[in-house]
Amino acid sequence: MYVLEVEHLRSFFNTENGVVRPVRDVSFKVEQGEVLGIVGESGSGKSVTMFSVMGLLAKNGYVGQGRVTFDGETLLDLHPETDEVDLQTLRNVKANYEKHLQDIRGKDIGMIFQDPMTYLNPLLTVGFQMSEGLKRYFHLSNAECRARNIEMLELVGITNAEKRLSQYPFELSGGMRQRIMIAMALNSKPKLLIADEPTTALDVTIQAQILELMQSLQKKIGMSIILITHDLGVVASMCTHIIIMYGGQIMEEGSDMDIFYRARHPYTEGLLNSVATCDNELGGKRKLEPIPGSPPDLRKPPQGCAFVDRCKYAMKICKAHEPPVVTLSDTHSCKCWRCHPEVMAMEQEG
Amino acid sequence: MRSNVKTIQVRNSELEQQPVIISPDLLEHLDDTEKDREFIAMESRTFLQDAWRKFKKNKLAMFGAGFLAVFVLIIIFGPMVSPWTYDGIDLSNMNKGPSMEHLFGTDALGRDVFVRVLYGGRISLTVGFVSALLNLIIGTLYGGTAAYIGGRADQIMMRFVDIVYSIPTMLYVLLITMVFGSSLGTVIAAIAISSWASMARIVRSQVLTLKEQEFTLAAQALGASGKRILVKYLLLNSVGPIIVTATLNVPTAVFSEAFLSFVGCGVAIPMASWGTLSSDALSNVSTYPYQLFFPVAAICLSMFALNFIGDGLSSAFDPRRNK
Amino acid sequence: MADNILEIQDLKKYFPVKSRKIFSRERQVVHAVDGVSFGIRRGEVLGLVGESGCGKTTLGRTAVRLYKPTGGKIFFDGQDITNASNRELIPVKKKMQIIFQDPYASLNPRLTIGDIISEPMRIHHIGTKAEQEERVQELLNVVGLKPDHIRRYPNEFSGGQRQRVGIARALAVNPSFIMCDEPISALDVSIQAQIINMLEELRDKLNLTYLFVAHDLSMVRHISDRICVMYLGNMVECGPSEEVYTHPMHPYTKALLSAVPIPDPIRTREQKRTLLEGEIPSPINPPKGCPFCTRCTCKEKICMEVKPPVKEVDGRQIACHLFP
Repeated sequence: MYVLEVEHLRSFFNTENGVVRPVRDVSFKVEQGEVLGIVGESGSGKSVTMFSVMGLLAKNGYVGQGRVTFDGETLLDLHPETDEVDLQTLRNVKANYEKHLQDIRGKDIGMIFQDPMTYLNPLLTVGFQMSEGLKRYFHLSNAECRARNIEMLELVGITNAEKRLSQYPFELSGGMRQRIMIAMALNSKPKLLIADEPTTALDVTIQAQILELMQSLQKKIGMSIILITHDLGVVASMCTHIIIMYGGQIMEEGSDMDIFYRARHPYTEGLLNSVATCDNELGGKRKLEPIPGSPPDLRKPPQGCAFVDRCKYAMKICKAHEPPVVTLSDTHSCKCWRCHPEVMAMEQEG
Repeated sequence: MRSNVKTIQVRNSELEQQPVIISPDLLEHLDDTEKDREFIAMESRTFLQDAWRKFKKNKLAMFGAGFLAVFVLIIIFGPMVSPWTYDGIDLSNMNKGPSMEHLFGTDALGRDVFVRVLYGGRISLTVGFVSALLNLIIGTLYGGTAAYIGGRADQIMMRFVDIVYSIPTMLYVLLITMVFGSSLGTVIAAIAISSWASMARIVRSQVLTLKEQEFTLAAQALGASGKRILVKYLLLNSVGPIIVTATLNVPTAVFSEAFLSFVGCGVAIPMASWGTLSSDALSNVSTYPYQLFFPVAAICLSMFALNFIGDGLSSAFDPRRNK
Repeated sequence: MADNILEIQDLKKYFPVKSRKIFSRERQVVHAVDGVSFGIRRGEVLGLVGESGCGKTTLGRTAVRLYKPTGGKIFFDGQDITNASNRELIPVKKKMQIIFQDPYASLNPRLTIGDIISEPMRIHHIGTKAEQEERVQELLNVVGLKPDHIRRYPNEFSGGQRQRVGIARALAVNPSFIMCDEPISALDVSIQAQIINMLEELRDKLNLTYLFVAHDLSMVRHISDRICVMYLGNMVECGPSEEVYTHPMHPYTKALLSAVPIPDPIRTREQKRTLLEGEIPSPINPPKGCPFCTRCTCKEKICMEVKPPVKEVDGRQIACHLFP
C-alpha cells in the first residue's frame, strides 16, 4: 500500500530569463510507514518536486505533466496530448489542484520547513497558530484545542507547555521553533509528514535532538516521512529508502544499503566520496574527491545526461542521449548508461 | 516579472521516442575538454542594461518617456519655427481664440499663447531638472556621508536635515528673493534647498543597510579607504533608489515652481512659466477659459509623463524582481 | 612566540546591547568573546569550531582587526596590532586576507569579476593596469574559472563559483595568512569538498597559514592541524586535531562530536549519542561558573561557582574542573 505515488511529474517556472525546468520527469512512491530520503544539492529540484506535489508552487511555477495519487485517491492526472501547452490551461489546472489540496494539506499531510520563522506568524501566539488547523478540520472547541496542543507540545519535548502556548514565535529559540513546527504538523495526526531540510538551520547538538525526536515519533505514530535534505549523515541515520536527485531528475534510487554500499551512479559515488566524516573507524581523514564543476543551469539543461559535464566516466552517448532508468534489483534502480546491459556487454568485449 | 510566453513546451516526445542505437563508437570516453564544467547559460548584462530591459517592458513608462521626449523637442524647437515671440505685444489682437494663426489664441496683451506655453515649458522644465539634479548631488553626498561616518556625527547631521525639512518652501523663497531678488536662479535654489532633505534620508537609509553587507566588510578587510568604500560599494549599490527618487523629484519641482509663480514669487515678467501663465489667465477665466486651459494641460501632461517614468524606473530597479 | 604568525592573548570582545527601557541606565553587554588565547604557527591550519552564538566568527574577525577588541592583545608577525589605527593597519591587511561565509553577499554586485579580483591590487597600488589584468587571469585559472568570466557579474555565478572568486580575491596580493570565515557552510556537499581541496592545495603551494572558522566538524577535521573548540565565548578545548577527534576530553567536545551524524547507515546506528539537554544560554548573562555547566552531564558543585581556568593536559589546552 502506497501513501503517495508520483508519476512522470514535470514542473517549470516561467521567469523573465526564460523557462526553467526544475523537475523533469520524476516518479516515486512512498510506502506506508517508511522514511523516504530525497537527497540533492541546491537546484537539484528536490524541494520543487515536493512543492509541486503539495500545490505550493510560487506564482510563476506550474505543473506541466504528472499524476499524483495520495492514499488511493488520484489528485492530479495531467498528461497533455501535445508537447506544447497553452499557459492558461496550466493556470486553470493549477488553481483547481490547489483548491483540492487545501483540504488535504495540514490534515492528512503535515509539513515542516527549514526555517520555521518564515512559516510562523510573528504576530500570533503559538497556541493560536496550533489551534487553527484543529478548528478548521476537526471543529474542536477552544478547551479541546488547548488540551490537544499541550499534549502535542509535551510529545515533542517542550517543557512548560502551558506557558509556551501564550508566547510568540520570536520569544523562542530556533530549536524550540522547529519543535513547535513539528507539533503543529503532527497535531492532526497526518498519514504523511514532509520535512524539507528540517535541521539545516540548526546546530549539531540541536539537530541530534530533533532527529531523535522525529525518529521516535515516527515509530510511535507510524506515519510515513519524506525527508528532503542535502546532508548524507542525516539521511543515513533516518531513512530506509533513498532517492538521489540531480538536475531535476532522479539519478539513483534504492534502499539505504543500496545507496551507501552498492552505489552505481557516478553522481552518488562522487557525493559519497566528497563527504567528510568525524567517525574514526571510517578512516577519519581520508582524501576527499570532489566532483569538479558546477551544477547544470536548468534554463538550458544538457541534452543527454544532466551529469555528463561533471562525470569522470562520461562517454559520447551520455552527451547525445538521455540515459534510461535501469532496474538493478527490487529496490535499486539507476539512470545511467553504464548500468545498461547492452553497454555493459560491449564494454566487457573491449 | 514573467516573460511574455503564451505556451510552454512541457516535454519533447520526438526526442524521447527516438530509438537509441548503442554502438561502440558512442561508448568512447569524453575528454575533459569536451565537458563544459563551468557553463553559464545566463547572458551577461550589466545592472543598467537589466533595468533598461525591464523598463522597456513597461508600456505606460515607455509611453511617458516617449511623450516627454516629443514634448521637450517641441518646447526646444517650437518657438524657433513660430513667427511669434513670447514678449511681442500686439494690442490689435487681444484675447483672440485659438485659430490657424495663433494655435492657442492670444492673451490680454495680444501675445501668442502657444509660444508662451512653450517658453513657459522651458522655464518650468529647467527648474524641474536643474533643481532635481542639485537635489541629487547635495542629498546623495550629505546622506551618504552621514550614514558612512555614523554614530554621533550621523545623529547631528540628520537632526539638521529634520530642521531643513520642517521649514516650508515658501519661507526659503521669500528669504532668498528678499536677499537676491526674484529670478530663475533664486527659484531653483529655493526649491533645491527645501527638497534635498528627503533625498538625504533615502540615501542614508540605503547606505546604512548596505554598510552591514558582507561585501562592505570585505572592502574594509582589504584596506580600502573610506572614500572608496562610500563611492564604489555604498553609493554605487544605491544607484537604483537614487535615480528613482531624483526622477520623481522632477515633477514635484515643476509643481513647486508652478505654485510659487502662481502666488507671485516666481520668475519675473516678461519671462513666463506655466505657473505665471495660469496665474495671469485666472483673472479672466470666465471669459477666456482657453488661456488657462493650455498651461494647465501642459503641467498635467508633463506631470503624468514624469510620474509614469518614475514608476517604471522604480519597478525596473526593484531588487526583489531581480531574480 | 617567534614562529607564531598570529598570537592572541586573553582577547575579549563585548558588544553593547540597546536597553529596551528608555530611561534605564543599566547597560547590558553581549560577551561574544570572553578571554581567549592561542597562537597560530606559520604554515599551520587552526580550526575554530563551535555552535552558532559561541563567538567563533567574532573571535576570527577581531583577531584580524575587523573589529576593535575590548581587551587583550593581538600580535601579527610579532607586531602588536591591538590598537593599531586604520592607517597603520593598511600594510598589515596586505598580508592577511579574509574569505567570507556567504558567497552571495561578500561580492559587490555592481562590479565585474575582474574588478572584484583586482580590487586588492588597486587598493594597495600593486602593478600597472596590464599587470593587474594578467594577474587576474592567472588567478581565475588557479581557482578553475574560465578567462571569459572576467567581464561577468557575481549574480550570474553559482555559489561555488562565487566562493572561488572570493578565494581568488584573497590570493591577489600574495598574503601569508588567510582567515577563512565559514567559507563552506553556504555551499553544497560536492562543492564543499572542491573548496576544501583547493584551500589545501593552495596552502601547500603558497605556504599559507589559515585560521579556519566553521561549524561543520567533519570538514574542519580534514583541513586542520590543530583545533580549537569554543562554547559561549570561551575556549573549552584546543589541541592537535587528530587527537581531539579521536579522544575528546572536554564533556562538551565529546557531546558535540557524538552529535554529528555519520554518513553511513550501519555506523550511524552503532553510534552512541550523548544528547545534550536544553540550549546555549544567553551570552548577555552567561552562567557564573563554567559556561557549559547548565548543559553538562558530569557537572559538580564547583562548576556552578568557579569558572575553570585553561590548563595544559597531555599537550592540549582544556578548561574543565574534571582535569586537575
